Amino acid sequence: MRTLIVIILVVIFPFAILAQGEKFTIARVKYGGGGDWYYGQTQIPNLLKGLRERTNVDTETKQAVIQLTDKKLYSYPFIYMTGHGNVLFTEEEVKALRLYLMRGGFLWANDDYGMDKSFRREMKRVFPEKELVEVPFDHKIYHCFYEFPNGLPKIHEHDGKPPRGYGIFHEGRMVVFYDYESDIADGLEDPEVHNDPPEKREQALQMAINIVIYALTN
Amino acid sequence: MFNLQISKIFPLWLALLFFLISSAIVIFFYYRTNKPLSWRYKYVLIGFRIFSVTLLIACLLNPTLILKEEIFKKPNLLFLVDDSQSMSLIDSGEELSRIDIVKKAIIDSSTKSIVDELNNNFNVQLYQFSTDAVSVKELSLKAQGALTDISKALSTAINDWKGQQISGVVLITDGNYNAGEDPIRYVQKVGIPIYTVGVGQTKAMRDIQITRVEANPIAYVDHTFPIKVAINSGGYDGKEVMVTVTSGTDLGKNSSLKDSSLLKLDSKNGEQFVELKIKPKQEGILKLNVSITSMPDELTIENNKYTFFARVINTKIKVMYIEGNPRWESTFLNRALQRDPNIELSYLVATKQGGFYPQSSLKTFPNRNELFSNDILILGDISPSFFKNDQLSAIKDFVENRGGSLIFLAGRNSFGDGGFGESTIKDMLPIEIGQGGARLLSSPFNPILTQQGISHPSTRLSDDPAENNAIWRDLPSLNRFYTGIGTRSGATVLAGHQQEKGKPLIAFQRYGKGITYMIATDDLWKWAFVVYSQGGDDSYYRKFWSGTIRWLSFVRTKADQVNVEPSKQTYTKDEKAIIKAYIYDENYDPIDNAQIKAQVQTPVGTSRDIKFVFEENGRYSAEFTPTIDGNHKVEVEAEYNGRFIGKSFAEFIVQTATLEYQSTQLNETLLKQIADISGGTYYNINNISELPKSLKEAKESIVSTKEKSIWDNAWLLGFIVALLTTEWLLRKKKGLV
Repeated sequence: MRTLIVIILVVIFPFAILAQGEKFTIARVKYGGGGDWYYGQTQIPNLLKGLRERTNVDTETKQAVIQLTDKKLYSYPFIYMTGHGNVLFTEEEVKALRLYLMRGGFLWANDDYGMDKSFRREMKRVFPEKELVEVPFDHKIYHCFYEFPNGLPKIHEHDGKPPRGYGIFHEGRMVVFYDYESDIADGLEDPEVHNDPPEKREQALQMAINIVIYALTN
Repeated sequence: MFNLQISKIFPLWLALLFFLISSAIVIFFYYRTNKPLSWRYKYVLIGFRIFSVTLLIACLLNPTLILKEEIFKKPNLLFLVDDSQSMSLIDSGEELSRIDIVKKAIIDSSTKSIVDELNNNFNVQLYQFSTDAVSVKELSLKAQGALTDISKALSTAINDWKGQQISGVVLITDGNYNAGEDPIRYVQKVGIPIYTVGVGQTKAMRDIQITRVEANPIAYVDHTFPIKVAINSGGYDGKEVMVTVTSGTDLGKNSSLKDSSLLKLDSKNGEQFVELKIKPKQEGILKLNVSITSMPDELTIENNKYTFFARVINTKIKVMYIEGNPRWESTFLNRALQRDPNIELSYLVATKQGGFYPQSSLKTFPNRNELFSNDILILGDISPSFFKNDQLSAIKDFVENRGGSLIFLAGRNSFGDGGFGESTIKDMLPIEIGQGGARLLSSPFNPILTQQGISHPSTRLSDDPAENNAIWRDLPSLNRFYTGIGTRSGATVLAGHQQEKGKPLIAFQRYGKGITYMIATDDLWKWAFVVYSQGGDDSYYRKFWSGTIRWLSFVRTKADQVNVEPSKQTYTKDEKAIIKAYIYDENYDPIDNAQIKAQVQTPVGTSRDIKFVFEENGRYSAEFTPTIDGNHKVEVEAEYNGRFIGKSFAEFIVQTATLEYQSTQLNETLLKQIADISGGTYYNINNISELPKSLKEAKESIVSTKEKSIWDNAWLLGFIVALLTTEWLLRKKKGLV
């Protein structure tokens, strides 16, 4: 009996470690303030699938979920946040996010309509000395894999405003990319979720791949 | 005062029990003697026997006499006076220099001197210092020390009295330390009250000074070399001054390089900056003098000039990095290489489709000439099938015949199934991988440096071997290890895996004229990113990579088995220069008992022999104390078993520091902090007469304790033997058995 347990442990244990995986994945930020941080559960898995199929980035199938104060944060140099509602960081989260970004981490924030005001307010707490600046169309993020000569594509209509890509830069490197009035992530969902047309979904996937490739090669 | 103490090992009740039993036995046997005996005689015999037994039992109790004595010994008081150059300044409104003010206050005062007064209650030990504290019978202050190192002065003086009680330290200084550890950090450790006495003025004086110059220590031929000059001024707002940089006149093509810029002084916002630029013309050491116009009534014009040195080299190290898998290992390595000012990087990231990502510096794989213009090629996680056959043979040629270096980075594509281990260039790998590729172990481990790794330029994160080991141990642990069959014969392993003995983590081998190097993990990025300790940053990650790249390029450019490195580029006069030599054989294995001939050529044309002493792992060390300013050249020649190994040279500069005039105001804040933290008090030199009063209370008495064992002496033993003998003789006389 004991031998059996040992054999089972020996066989299962390496898989348990491998299953945890060290391939590329994206960690979704679980933030406070009441906003729907969990919204759109198919977005990241679909992006990871797209990366696997179209690029040589070796990806996991699942997203990770972390809070900014988790120790595991440093296992994921690429984090993602989205939502429609209020974002509120604790004082510890503000400090943790600032350090993480300055050390080499990257945050992609996707405004799913309604996150803009609180997201900007919270980023000002993280980087009081820096501004979210509009990313020029000739920036690498629009050209590093797919070509987006006119900048961010418009995926989902809300107010009829033009899509805008904003960034925060530290020592020449973009550490935060924020898409506003575009809702890239909307087009990453499974087709039946929003019934976005195929060409919109393709544009969304291409832009999202560019964001990952930018973070990985710069 | 005394106490009597008995052994705690042997309880008193047991001793009493012994005594009673043995006495009872003695009395019992004497009660029935085999020959009749008078009771008087019996009493005497019983008395003798019981008395000796009692004494023996008493000895077993180990009685100890404890003597306590209160001694009123004068406690030690260390009295340190700053004797550095900044003490020669005359503050505005004063007639005497700082040092003369000190002399007047502590030695020449018309009444009784402070030192004499302190001597009544203390054993005063006088020291004067600029870096080391020097013990003196009488102070002879000249204000000539070229540096001020307060923490070192305190530590040398305090260590002189190790094991003895020091009841306090008096520290007289202007607080302008410009060398050594932050005194606050030292003071936090010592736990001895320090009474600080400040000399000088705290407010800004009429002065213009160059506080520092920011420039890269390496400059490149025909490239603009920017120099940022920081200037502090007081009392001259609105005046215009000229800031100039010039190179020395004896530097060949680099002579008389010059740039200058006008600056309108404004003291309200602290430091002002001026940017100057020069363009060096040839390789070598460049001496640069920065100067600023001086005003007639400045506190000192010593700080209106600043000299520094830069090493001019021909080109940056050219590195080409080809990555086949955008991953965090490549992201962080790319960032580190891009940030290194001495590296010119071409970064190529392959796509799944067989080309390169658009931001790569080339659109296609470089042709032979382009490839050969690099010093180092890094192959990331890329499959050999990405390259055409002629491209693989160009890579082989690049190392074998051109003498370039190749770094293999582990990954699924490069070390796994179908990786380089099975390619036509598999013998370039310093490890043997075998069919099916390397096995990936995913569990946390820490690298262990080998004997070679401890002091090898690639893995040397500290010059101190023990510290280097500790640094490697404390870096964040790695999770992924690609393990092959083992090290290729002839390869040198620098680091291994904690558990997988004999499997290399970092190894290299000589390959033709060049070197091939490999790292068997793709997890090193953790060292750049993970916050692993308070204040821990990516500096060790960058140091590891810049050290490795530098060493590999050095091997290429010089192919030297003999290397010589001074510990610093510049020394001050009378500062000990430590020079290290590293000697390797043709396989780059360290040689431990090479014969080294070495000499230092001074700027005036004379030369002095220096002696290298073997340390470990092919490393040797020599010392040289310069006596004149200027460029010095160390020449080293090594032999092994009568065979010539090679020769090499290095240069260093000696310059008299002008650091002493860079910051001139009394640093009262520092002195108050030192006093606060250590439990002392701060005084201005004008109030030094109050010092002896407050120190009196600090006086302490010392109780000395002596223990004296009572039984442990020969007389007692003799006495017991005498008792027993007497008893025996008496028994004999009466014919008792």
